[in-house]
Amino acid sequence: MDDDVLLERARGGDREAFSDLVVRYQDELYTMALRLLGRPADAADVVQETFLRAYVRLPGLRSGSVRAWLYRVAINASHDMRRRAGRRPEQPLEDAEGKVVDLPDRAIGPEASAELREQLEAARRALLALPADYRTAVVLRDVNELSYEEMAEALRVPLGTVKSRLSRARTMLASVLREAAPATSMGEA
Amino acid sequence: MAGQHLEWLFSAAIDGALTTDERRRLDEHLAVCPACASALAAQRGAVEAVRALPRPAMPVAVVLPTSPPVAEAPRGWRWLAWAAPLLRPGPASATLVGAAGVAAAVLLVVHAHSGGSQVATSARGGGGGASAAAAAPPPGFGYSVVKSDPSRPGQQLVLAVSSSGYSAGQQVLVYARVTGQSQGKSQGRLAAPQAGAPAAPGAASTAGQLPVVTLTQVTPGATGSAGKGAQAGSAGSPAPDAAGAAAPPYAALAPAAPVQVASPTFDVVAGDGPLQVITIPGGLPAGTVLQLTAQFPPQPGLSVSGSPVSVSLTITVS
Repeated sequence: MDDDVLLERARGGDREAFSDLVVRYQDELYTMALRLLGRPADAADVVQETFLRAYVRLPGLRSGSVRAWLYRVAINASHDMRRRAGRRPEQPLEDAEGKVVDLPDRAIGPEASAELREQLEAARRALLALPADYRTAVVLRDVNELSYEEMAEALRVPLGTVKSRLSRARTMLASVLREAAPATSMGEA
Repeated sequence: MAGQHLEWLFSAAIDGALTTDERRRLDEHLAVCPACASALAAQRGAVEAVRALPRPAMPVAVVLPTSPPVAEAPRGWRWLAWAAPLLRPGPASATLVGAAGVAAAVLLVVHAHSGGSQVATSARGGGGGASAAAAAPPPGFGYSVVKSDPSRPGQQLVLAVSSSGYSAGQQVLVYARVTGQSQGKSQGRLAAPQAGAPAAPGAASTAGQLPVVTLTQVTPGATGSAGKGAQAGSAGSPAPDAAGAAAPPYAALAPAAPVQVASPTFDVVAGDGPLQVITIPGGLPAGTVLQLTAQFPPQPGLSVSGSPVSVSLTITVS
């Protein structure tokens, strides 16, 4: 069932239709928030907040892409989370006994080669080093694979802004990666 | 150097979004400009590295209200404005969870999963309720504590949240349960409406088994040493000072003894067990140390001598 049908049903009071949308989008929104924020627990909170916000805003939603709308809500929730997180000191990921107190960002499996792991870790860090708007642009395009048009709708900016912001963001990303790993030749021709 | 560099075309080139003219212009330039060729390759490599990053699934359940999405704005709710239609004002005299008869919202729980086909089924694959071995909190609740009660062999009290720091006004999902007993029968899509009076003795048997969760303030502001370990309270009236009064002016509090500042406003039952939602009071200054405490719930037919066993986690307001 496509998004618009589910959305219409949800707006008619059908909670299960909305929960189908949750199932459909929770994982990609989690990935987005994780790449924007870096902390799995924060990302999970963002997804939770996103769907609560979306739920209460359903009645007032005007037409448009459900996906882009959810992304917009999630991006705003991520900004709010970042502002909150910015005020608190960096929390350790392990407690005094060395027990992990955060969700691991496991996904880089043990089968990955050391070189690949290093490369992915460098990319992850480089993303987090970008200014928020640039990071968001790269994440939406290269992690979540939104089209330029979806990005424009999610970010509420003109298409031209999407392209120029993404262009600058990628330039900066390459620069950060190059500086982070001067010894390795990332992306050599 | 071959004329003006064309770095501004790289991004569209990587996306295959160049026009024919732009494509030709870029190709001609790259053929004579090693700097741009190298820079484009570097940018392409950076983008590919980001694209190769793992895409983990949402690790915890999404919780939704079961009330239909009809906007109406109740008064007096000081949580985030957007949530107003969802929730009712919490009891100002929050003595015990739901004790004031507040009809707590019943929530819909959508489970994290990897397959994309099921909603809110038990992560343990059955409706049998808790098993004695399930003392560990679910994923996402990494800040946790577990304690046994000698008078209840085989049972453990588990209290867990996602973090040791939250900001004022933030809602916190609290996982609190007694393992080794049957509870959390609702494993289905909709949570059972058991949240109405979870602490009331004589209510539905499952409802009486929820640990009693309270949030108390340890220090007024600056980071201090928090009282670790079990905080003893009496089962019936855990907050003699703050309870029963109107909501205290949180920012002005400088308690000599821990003062209860919040209790759960509603509960949910996820596939893995009960979750309760507690709100960090707005207006608490950063650095305030709070203590989240869960007590073994009163057990019908079991007379407990002395203070009930409880567990606590220290939470710092950020």
